[in-house]
Amino acid sequence: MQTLLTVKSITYAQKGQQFLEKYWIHSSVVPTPEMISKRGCSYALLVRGDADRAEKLLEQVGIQVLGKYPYPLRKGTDR
Amino acid sequence: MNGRAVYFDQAATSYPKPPAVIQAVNQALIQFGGNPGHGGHRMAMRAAQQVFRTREEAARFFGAEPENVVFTASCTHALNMALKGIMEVRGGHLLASMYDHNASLRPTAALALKGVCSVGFFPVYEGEPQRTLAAFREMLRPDTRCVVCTHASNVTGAVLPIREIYEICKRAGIVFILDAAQTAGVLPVTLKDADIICTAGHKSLLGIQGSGMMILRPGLKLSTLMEGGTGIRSLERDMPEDSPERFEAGTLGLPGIMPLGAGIREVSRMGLQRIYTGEMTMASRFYRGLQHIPGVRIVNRGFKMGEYVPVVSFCIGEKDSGIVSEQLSAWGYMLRGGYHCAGMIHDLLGTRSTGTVRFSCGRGATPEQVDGLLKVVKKIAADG
Repeated sequence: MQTLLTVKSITYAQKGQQFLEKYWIHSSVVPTPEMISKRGCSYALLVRGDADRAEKLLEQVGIQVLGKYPYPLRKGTDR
Repeated sequence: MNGRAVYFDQAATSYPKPPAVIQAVNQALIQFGGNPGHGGHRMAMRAAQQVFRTREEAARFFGAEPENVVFTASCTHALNMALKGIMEVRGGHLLASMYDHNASLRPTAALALKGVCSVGFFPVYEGEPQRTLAAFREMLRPDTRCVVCTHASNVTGAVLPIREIYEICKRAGIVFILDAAQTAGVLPVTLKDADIICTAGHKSLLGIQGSGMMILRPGLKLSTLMEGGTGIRSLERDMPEDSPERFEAGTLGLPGIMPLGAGIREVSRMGLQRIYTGEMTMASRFYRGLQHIPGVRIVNRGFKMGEYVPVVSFCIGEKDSGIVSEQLSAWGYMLRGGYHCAGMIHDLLGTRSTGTVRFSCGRGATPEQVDGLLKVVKKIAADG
């Protein structure tokens, strides 16, 4: 299982991804699915591993996590 | 003219560009063709990674956070964004230096004309920082909300006492905007020196024309200069609140942003001290040589290391500097003549009738090139 952490912008997602790497938490920057992002296009971090720890770490560096969603592996997207 | 061109107009734009910068333009066009931050497919995301990479490089260079690095089309664009963004929120009184470029002076005039704020100008006394600071203090008002100041004059290269100005601003709760067009890539500039740094990407940072940056202290509130698509919150009518997307409406210019990153890496690799010392050595040689040419008036009030960037302005008698520049160009030396888009400084320098010829050198300048130029200046001065 992966977890989707939604953040304010692609820049925050990119900054967060780099920061989490320092703690060996792997993630990728992805567009937020439309059913989650109610305000239109946004970006999120797809976290593989401890999402609660990731959320705490992100908030330590001022990256606000807007939402946390379980995210099933989707066939055909992991290439 | 035999086709040879010796370029001494680095203050306008740097030339030639390092190979890594040229390579980055190619990479942007060939390998990273997607629209950065506007879409989630692989090409768009790969382009966005490159934008973020440059944001990080710039953030490290200027002591900022990546999200507070805003890419612009030029320093003028950045200064417009900063001045209008701050004054539309704060109103009151805005103070600018008389040594500023029109990139600052004209937006201040536009703001005053629209009634957004009142505007004042403080004189700069080159080589007399305490006198400049006294004049600055005298011009401050209880309702002064913002100060804009060039770090170094694009006409004479004189470095202004910006650290002291920022200290005064901080104590009074005034936002300080620094125009670092002539210093970024030559002298250290960080967010310890200002609340907002505006700079060009294509001068001493070695990027290409069409690139610039506005770098913000966290927590500043600015209105937007432009509104439009940001790649996020597309269903909302208002611009996002957070930097950098709030200020980056429309598609980003990746073929300008990637070379800017390459330029910053090149400057960091060379080291500011080495760049500054090398360029100042050549400019000092030119300055000393000019002192011995009859009929030449050097406009700079001095040329000490640490007090100037490598820019020297001069006049030949009462000759129109534009014509002198044309003559130099015919001999193969590229120097700018005229007023250098600085509307007020010429009243202080006494060059309103002639303008100045400006010498500004970069890393590649050689003693032979400088000496060759001096010979031609001597000949033009002698011919009258």
